[in-house]
Amino acid sequence: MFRRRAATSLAAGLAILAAAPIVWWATQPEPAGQTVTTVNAAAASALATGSASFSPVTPVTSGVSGGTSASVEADPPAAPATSEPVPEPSPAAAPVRIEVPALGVDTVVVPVGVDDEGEMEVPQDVDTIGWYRFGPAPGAAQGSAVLTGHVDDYRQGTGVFADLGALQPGDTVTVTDGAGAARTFSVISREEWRKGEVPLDRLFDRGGSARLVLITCGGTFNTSTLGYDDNVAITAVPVGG
Amino acid sequence: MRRLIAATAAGALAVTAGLLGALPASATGTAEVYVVHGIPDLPVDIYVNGALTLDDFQPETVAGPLDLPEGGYTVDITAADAADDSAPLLTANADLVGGTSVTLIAHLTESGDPTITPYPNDISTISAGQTRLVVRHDAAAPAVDVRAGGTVVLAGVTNPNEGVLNIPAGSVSADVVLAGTSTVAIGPATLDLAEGSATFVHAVGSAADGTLTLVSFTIPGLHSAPGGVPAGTGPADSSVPTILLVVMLTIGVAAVAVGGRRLYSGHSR
Repeated sequence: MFRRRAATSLAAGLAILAAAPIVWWATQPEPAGQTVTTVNAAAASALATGSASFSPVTPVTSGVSGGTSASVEADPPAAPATSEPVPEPSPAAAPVRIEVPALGVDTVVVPVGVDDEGEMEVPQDVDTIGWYRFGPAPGAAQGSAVLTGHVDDYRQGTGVFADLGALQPGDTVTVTDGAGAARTFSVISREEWRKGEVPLDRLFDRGGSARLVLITCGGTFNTSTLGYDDNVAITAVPVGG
Repeated sequence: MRRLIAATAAGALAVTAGLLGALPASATGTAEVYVVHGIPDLPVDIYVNGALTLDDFQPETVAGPLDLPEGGYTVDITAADAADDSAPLLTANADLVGGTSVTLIAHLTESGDPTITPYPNDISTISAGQTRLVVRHDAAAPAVDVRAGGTVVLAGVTNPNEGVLNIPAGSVSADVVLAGTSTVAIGPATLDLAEGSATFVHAVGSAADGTLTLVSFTIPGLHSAPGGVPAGTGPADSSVPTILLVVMLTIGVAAVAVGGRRLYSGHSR
């Protein structure tokens, strides 16, 4: 009797010791980054500067004649050609609030720039969204207005953009500027890339069709670099405009 | 008030022909030219390849960009009241390469003589968040230092040389001092340096005559995208797993120790 209780105690102790690491591993917090399927990437690409469907002119084909160059040089100088006006992002339209009903998101937007590494600055607070202030503002006539937020943060936990990858084409995003003007956008695409393959020039395009781009992190959390392997981006276009 | 005029009636026809002729060429076959007037008190007319291109061009102003098909050009500068380009004050030849940007400036040498200097404009793309500031010494003045916010950022610039800075975008208070001194020659002036733009500042005039000033223009659209979007640093650190681990290890070790000792003492009894 005495020996049996002692043996039971010993066995239970060994079982608890064996289970301890498993419980420790199983209760580790999960990274919030999503892995999503890409939807309508072509539609997002078509909005960029120089894409065939946006460009008002037919792309120049090869075989441009050089035969006229001699006479061109002999001619008097041409009057200054009207250059393509570069759209200036209006500071008045700097966004201060974003609402994404499908995700239950309604939060603050602040202007951000770049960090010391030349990457886009992301607000420290995971409940705050950053607007890339060097690019167009939401509502500008041309170009891509970029908003970003942390998917999660090791000090604060899950961020407001954690479920960004759940957005579907047709979901709406409403951005309000400091003057109270609200602009609604309709999601047209969802994309995910490895960090090295993100089409940054397209996402941060200052020309092309007016659009809104929401970016966060996704894919696998890399425990050695303490960052995510992927970026997830949503592209939305103005509603009724 | 400067006016940008095509030319005479006959010249206007020729310009139209030139434009049509230029159209089939690709965009890289065109150079853009900025013309800066840095000689005080001397309105001028500027002829390009014999055609009046800038009429009554005022000192301390900038014209352009003129988009010119690549090739060789002769630029003649006459007094503003001259009837034609038969007696130019200054003449320069420019060989324009397609796809490039060039500044032609009429200005004074260090000793005060009028001259024309061509500068290639650096229109390479600029890193996200940065701006480019180019300062050119085109004044009848000795070597200068350029200061931003009181700190020397370009030292010992001499006529007709330039200094280039790629710096974070924003407003800077800049002035020009005699090299190695804190004797202010020009300024201070507040420069609003926009992200992704190159600002070309020309110090012109004459120190002896007290006509030193700055003439500048900006080329926008040189921006580039940020290098990435680091929008996640992982899940929040949690103490729950560690506490569970410590508790389970403690209980387990205690149970093993108690059970083991009782078993051992039972044997030896």
